[in-house]
Amino acid sequence: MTEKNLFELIKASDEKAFEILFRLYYEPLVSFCIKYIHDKDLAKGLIQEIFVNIWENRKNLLPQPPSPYLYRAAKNRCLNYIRHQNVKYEYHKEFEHEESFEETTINETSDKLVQVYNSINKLPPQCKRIFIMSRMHGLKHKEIAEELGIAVKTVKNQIGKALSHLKNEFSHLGILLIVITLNLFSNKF
Amino acid sequence: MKKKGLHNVNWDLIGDILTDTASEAQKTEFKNWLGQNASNSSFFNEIKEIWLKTRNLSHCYSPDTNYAWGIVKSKTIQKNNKVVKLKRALYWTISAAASLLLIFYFSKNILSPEKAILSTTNNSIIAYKLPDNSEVDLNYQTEVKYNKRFTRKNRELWLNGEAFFDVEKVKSKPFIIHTQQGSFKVLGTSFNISSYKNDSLLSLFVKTGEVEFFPKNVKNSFVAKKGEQIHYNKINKKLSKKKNKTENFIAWKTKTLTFDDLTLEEIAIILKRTYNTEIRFENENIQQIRFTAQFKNQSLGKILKVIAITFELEIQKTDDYIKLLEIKHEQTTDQNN
Repeated sequence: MTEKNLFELIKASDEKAFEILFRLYYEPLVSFCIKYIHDKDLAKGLIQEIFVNIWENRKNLLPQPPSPYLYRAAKNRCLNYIRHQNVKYEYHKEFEHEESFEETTINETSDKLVQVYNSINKLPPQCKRIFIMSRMHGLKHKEIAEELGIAVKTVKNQIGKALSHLKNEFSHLGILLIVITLNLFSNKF
Repeated sequence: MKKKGLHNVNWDLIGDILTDTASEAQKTEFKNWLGQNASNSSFFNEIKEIWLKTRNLSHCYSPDTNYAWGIVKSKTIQKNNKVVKLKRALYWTISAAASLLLIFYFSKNILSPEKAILSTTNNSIIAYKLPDNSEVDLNYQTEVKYNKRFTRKNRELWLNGEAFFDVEKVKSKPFIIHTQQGSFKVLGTSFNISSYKNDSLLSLFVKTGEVEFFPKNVKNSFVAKKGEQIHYNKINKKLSKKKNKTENFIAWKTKTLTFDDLTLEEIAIILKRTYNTEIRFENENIQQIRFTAQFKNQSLGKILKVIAITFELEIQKTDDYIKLLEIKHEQTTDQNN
């Protein structure tokens, strides 16, 4: 599974692929939307609709990279909303010319992100849980230990286990090297 | 030294280095390890890179994303499952049998043009966002109805069952909930109401802010504040109020259970509320065992397993309930057969 074939998988009703697409893009798209409509809750609603729409019309999806499609859809929704709200013409006009913040947020590394996500998903359950608490939720070792009722040492060992698993997966997929290359060139995109 | 020669990795140490919590002594130890050979340092570089890179995905797991995924899932993947279920159950009356979303759409568009209905069955709970941006989580077998005219200015709904509300504050526009036993008025706050039609007891637990309760056919109203719990008996109209230390009450939503020296009998009641599964005991001895623990995001199976292992009990499942029994130790002579 890579970013490029997410749409194909979703077209074939792959629920896992749909979840990955959602998790990967939901927050970046919401922040993207807020730049247009300045209302967080509204932005969340609009973006959720986009995903519901994608699932409902998945049979018509083309095998294309999701990122440009999603950002375009988000932008259109926002502009439609603004039109509906009869916001002043000038205001709307201002955005028509503003292409600069489009499709920049996640584009460059997203292909690898799908694989990174999948690799994390494959970790043994307890290991995955601890790793997510540590890395994704930013909890301290001690906090995790307390929450799960285990020793701090166990937490660190589990995180170590996760890291060595990921290291194997990544070197197998060639992710590490590519990530480094992307870092060097990412400003070009 | 023990393992495959290459990296005799001390994760205890590396964990502290990565999170920048290492002591001076640890730092020295780490430096020595790095200097031991080139493969150690290239190993650490890769690990560090993974450590940094995975952080790019933290938004995939944020509470916001989790919550939104719940909503989208219920409108997409789970919606399809519900359709199949409904077809099988077509002979049921739609209002009683079916699941929330279909009903919601049906009711909105076909059945009754006036009211929108959200409902759950005995094996589903959902989270939903109301038109005023307030959030409501429905526990098992719960129904919420509201007018299609429900807006930020007119916020009123009807509840049968149990729900957790996180009400968005709208200036001077109260949010009103009606139940069989009375009504609730709030501004912006979060709280849990359990008011099943055939339950004589209503309970209210306020998580943040305050809630005003107007029991039916009673002149007074009662205010409950943060951390307080009200029990109201609709038959004898008795009301009791107490401070609640734990949030077990809303564990069905938060999935966090705190057992502070409770008997298994008490725990069974909480688990029933949370997982909608009855738990029975072989005898009173088991029922009176005391247990202290905290669980987050654990399945009922896991929790029971922990209890069973702790007290050397055996778990027996039937379709209707789960039973905890004493383990019959293997005996030298086969008396039982």
